[in-house]
This record gives sequence, structure tokens and C-alpha cells, in this order.
Amino acid sequence: MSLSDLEVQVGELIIETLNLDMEVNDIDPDDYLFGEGLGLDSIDALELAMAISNQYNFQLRSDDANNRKIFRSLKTLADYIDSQLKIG
Amino acid sequence: MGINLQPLLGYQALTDVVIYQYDRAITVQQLISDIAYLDQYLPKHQHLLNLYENRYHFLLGLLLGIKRQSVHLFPSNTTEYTLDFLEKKYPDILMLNQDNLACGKMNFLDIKILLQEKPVHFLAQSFLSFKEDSFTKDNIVIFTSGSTGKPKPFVKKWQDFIVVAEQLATKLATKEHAMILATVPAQHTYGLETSIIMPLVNGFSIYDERPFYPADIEKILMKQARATILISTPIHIRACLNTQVRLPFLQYSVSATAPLESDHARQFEQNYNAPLHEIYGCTEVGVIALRQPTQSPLWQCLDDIKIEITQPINTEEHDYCLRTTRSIQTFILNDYITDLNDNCFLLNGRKSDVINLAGKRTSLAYLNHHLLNIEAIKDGCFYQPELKDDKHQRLVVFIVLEKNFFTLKALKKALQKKVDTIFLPRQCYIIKQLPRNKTGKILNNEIKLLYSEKNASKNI
Repeated sequence: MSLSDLEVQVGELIIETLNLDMEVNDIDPDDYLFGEGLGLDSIDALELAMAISNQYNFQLRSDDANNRKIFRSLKTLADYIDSQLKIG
Repeated sequence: MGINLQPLLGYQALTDVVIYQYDRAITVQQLISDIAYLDQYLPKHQHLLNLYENRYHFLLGLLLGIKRQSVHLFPSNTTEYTLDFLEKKYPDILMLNQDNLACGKMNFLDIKILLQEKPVHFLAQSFLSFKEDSFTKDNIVIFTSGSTGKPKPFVKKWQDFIVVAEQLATKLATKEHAMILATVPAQHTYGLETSIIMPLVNGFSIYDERPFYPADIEKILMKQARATILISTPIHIRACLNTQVRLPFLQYSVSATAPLESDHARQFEQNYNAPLHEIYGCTEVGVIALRQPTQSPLWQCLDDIKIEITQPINTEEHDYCLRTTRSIQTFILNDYITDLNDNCFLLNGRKSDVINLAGKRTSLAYLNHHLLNIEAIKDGCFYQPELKDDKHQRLVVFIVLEKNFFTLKALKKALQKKVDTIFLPRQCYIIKQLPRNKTGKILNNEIKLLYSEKNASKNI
């Protein structure tokens, strides 16, 4: 499955921020980011929140009802960033 | 009305606030009423595993346990392996949690659900009281990951925590009515000491939720608008600075679990206009020493801690022995220290076997034990590369395989039941032989060299 431009950008941000040993095209956009899948954990979530805040200029919050959904996969994260950029 | 729940609860009146929730405050009176209500439903047990993340639910479980003189168990992680170990070792164990995930055959109770059913006009039939010896009995077992693959128990008393709590509040010059807000779990020694027992003993209040993102901390502080003590770790300190959140109303902040960059300490104090203190301690002993890094690099021991050199200084690697009146009495430090003078010292890094990631600690021996138990692996070891770009440096493994095909994913799957997720390897290097000396010991310098060589070339 091919990645959208924003998915490539966010995928590269994840790989670079977390120093993952993979290429962006290795990520299935629908694969889980946490647990099974990429195997990320809470420390990664915090690192990603910092990187997203710096690159896209908005803050992530735990009380966002969709927080779990946002971090589900590369696709959902890219979609959320896209929606925030449109609001901003 | 005067109350006496000493030495554990240092509140002056029933109307004092123990817990702040987002839009509600829970007073001593409410707390006592909730405990009396829940006490009717708590099944008989001797060992208690309290896994609530919410600090109010954790606190209710804790006080109910102390009232019943339960033995509180605090494992270093809650992997399937650890829960299975606890269940086998303590068959009457009662788990308090909001979900019964992986509780196996353990008795399980969700006091959060019970509380929702509490009648509005419930009248407590008795006032909260603790038996006299509740604080001096060996009623706490804290586990470290040990070096044999099995969790290693350390027995403590609540009195050990009370002694620390009294000293912390005084040494950190905490004002009355301060609210404690913590990004760390209540179950780990540092969190238990600073965010639960310190506020209880000194009559401070506790914010119930555990903020995760920097924006969560900001939101709580803005909403509460009261003098707050932030209990945190270097990773959250860095995240707050990095995301430039606003943190008003800080009276002071505390960081522990890993060394804090001195630049971060300076910037944090400047940005948020409040002192930042660091705590040095360990699971076995609790808080050992304090410092304010912008004022001095020296750590000052708490009054009940004395550190001494165990042998004459004739080698570079002599041990430092800690003596205390707490349950553990003596302990050989896991860190290299220098310039010990008048119970002040400098820290110079951890001994190589200890792995500390984001406040979680384990040993290479523990990780290697479980790595070598995987059938496909003939030989192998974990390695923690040196810190890079100021981030937590995740672990990698070097393995020698029994058969040719093995993936990083399969390796993680085999390890995740036994090892906390944070210690799962990020990279896996397949090699033909591990550099071991004649006695079979892995040579750290050789592994370091191997890592630098391998780091450029990728494998699975």
C-alpha cells in the first residue's frame, strides 16, 4: 500500500525521532504503532509529542477523546495532524 | 475539630483537602467515609497488589490495606511473568485495579466501581484508625528485577516511608497546603515516597490524575491555580522545555530516576521561576540524598543515611556502603561516587550491570537470563549504547543463533511476557560468537567495539 505525502513525512519523523532501524516504506500505514506492529511505548509517545509540537506547532493531550485512535497507526496519526493543520 | 491519624495522616481538620480532582476536592472526612464504605466489601486477604494509576483509588486501596494490616506488594513491572510469579508465591493475593487484565486466578476487586454505588447519605459507623503496630511491621515487599531472572524481594515497613516523608517536606521547605502533581506512577518507590506518603504525612493535597503530555501538566496547573509541587523525571522535564508549555503556580519541582542535564535544570528554573530539586535514591533504600543542581553538584544525604567506604582506597573500584536505620540497614551502592565528605558526595555513573530507562530499572543479568532461555538463541547479551542526542538510549541485543532464521519481531514476542516493554531491544545483531573471556564473562569493551562496527551495517 503506498503512502500519502503526509504519511511519508510523519513516518520519517517517527523513524528519525525514535531512531528506528527501518525505512519509511517498511511501515504499513494501517499497522499498529504501539504493542504489536512497530512496538512503540509510552516514552516513544512523549518523544513523538515533542517532535510533533516542534514540527507542526500544536500540542497533544491525554484528554482528547480520540487520543488512542490518533496514535493507532501511521495513517490515523497523519490524518489527525492534517486535521489540526487545517484548523490552525 | 482536631483529628489524630498520626503518624501517617498529618491533616489538621476533617475539612482539609486530601485529593484534588479536575473539578472536585476530596476532604479528609470524605476519604474516611469512602474507606469505611469500601471496608465492608474488601475480601479477606493477606497480600495486596494495588495497581491503580489514579492516585485517589490508589490511596483508598493503600489505606484500606494498612487498616487491615495487609502486606503490600510492589513489583517492578506487571508483565505476565511477574503476575504469574506473584500469584504462585502469594496464593491469597488480592489485586486492586480498574481492569482484570492478566489477573489470572488472582482475586480481583475494582473499588472504583464500588464507589460509584456508594449511597449519597452513607454514614460511617466507625472512625478511621490504624492498629498501633501497623507502621512498624514488615508489611511492604518491594521487588527489583534481581539478577537470577526472578523478582527479588525487599521487605520494608511504613515507618521507613514516614521517616523519608518527614525529612523531604522539611528539607525542600514545602509550604502548607501545597498540591502534589506527579508524572510518575504511585507504585514505584520514588512515586510512593514523594507523591503519596510525603503529602499524607505532612497534610498536603494530591492531584489524582497522572499527567502524561506536557500540555496535560499545563492544563491542570492553569485549572487548579494553586501552589503545586511537580514530581517528575528528566524525560518530562525535557519534554516541558521542548514543547514550551506554560507551568504557572509551581512552588518547586523534583526530578529523579536518572541524572538530569544541568542545562535542563537551569532552563527549567528560569522558565518556570521555581527551584528544581533532584533526588538520588533506589528501590532498596528509598531516597538517599538531595541536591539543587543549579546551586551545587554535591548530593546531601538525608539525616538517617550514612555512607562510608567499605575498604581502604587501594583500587579504583572500592565499594561505598550505606548504613541507615531503615529496614534495609546496609546497602552497597549501585553507583560510583567520589568526593565523599561530611555525608555529601558526587555521583559518577552507574555500575555497568544496572540498566535505568525512564525511571525503570533492571539488570543486564536479568535481561540476559531471559534472552538465553529462548530456544532459538545459543548465546547472546543485551547492550545499552551510550547516550546520544540526549534521548533515552534503548537497548540492543547481540545473539548467536541455534538456527539460521530469526526476526527481531519474534525475539520481542518471546521476551515481552517476561521483560518490561521499555527494555525490549530496538536492534538485534546476529553474530557468530560473543566476545567472552576464559571464565565466560562477556567483555564490555569488546561489545562496545562490536556495536560501533555493527551500527553502520543493518541486519534484521
